[in-house]
Amino acid sequence: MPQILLDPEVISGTNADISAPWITVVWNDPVNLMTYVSFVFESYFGFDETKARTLMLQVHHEGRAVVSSGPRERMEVDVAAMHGFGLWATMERDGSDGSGQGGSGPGGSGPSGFGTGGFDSGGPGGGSVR
Amino acid sequence: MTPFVPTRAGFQATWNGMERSEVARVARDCAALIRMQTGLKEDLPDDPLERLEQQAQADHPIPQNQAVLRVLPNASRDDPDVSAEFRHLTQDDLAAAKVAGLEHVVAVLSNKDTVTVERNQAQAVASALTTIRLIVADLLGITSDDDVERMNEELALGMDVGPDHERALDAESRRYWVGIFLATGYAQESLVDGMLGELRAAKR
Repeated sequence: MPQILLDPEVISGTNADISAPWITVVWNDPVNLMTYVSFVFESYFGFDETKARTLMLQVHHEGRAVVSSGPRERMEVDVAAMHGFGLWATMERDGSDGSGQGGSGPGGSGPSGFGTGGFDSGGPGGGSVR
Repeated sequence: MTPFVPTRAGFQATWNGMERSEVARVARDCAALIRMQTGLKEDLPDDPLERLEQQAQADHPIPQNQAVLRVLPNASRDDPDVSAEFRHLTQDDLAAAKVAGLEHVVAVLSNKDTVTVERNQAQAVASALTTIRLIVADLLGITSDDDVERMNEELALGMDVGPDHERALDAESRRYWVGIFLATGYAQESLVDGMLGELRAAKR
């Protein structure tokens, strides 16, 4: 996968409003395609292409990314939206587990790693149901 | 199976009869599993107030099935109260939306070789494809990127898909589920590419 320079703002986690009491975290999983995660970030949160991609790659490489912050009720709406898309999201009090970088996933025993889909090598027809 | 391409009618792809019938069958089974695991009623009241009331009274147990738990995960890693309240507020609606999306996939696949996903349904279909993939991934024991990579390598090398004794999947069933996982991923990738292209064009 092509590497890009990560936005330092995102790396340090300051893209989230630090005064906000709750955050929404999206976790890595092996099923969701990178394109799909970008689509969700761009369409639901209205992030521009660069920010969506940076966050998507942060999830992919570091295991998680904070995608929104605000009051608990707002985060419930965001988490529900992420679950609606099929992304793995949780909410937590901001700062409840430190930086949280590179976490192993909710509960520590779940899947990790966005799927690359399995058809990169296949091309049209490569994904036929047998 | 051809990739989805944007057309005037929506996003269109050509699937053969078996691709359509098998993915539709899996979509129906996934919908049934979600219904069963969440105790979702066949017909929620249309009136939003009645629905809220029904939702407020109902129990919203954590799904016992691992695959459904991945489709409707806990909202908190470490606070069961937060997760329980979240389920109470959202589970019925989320489960109903997922079932509706899966049923829409079944409808889209029900006729003709040309599969047409209308634009206003594209998001529901894309997310239903994720639902299927999450459930099938659980069945195949796919829990990491490495598992997917290994599966791709097996196929790229032209190796036959073997059995998974740990999961009691003989070679034939494993081949079937790998086929469903890859086909739905292939379909989703091209569908979402088209959706993303149009979303970005609309923003400019």
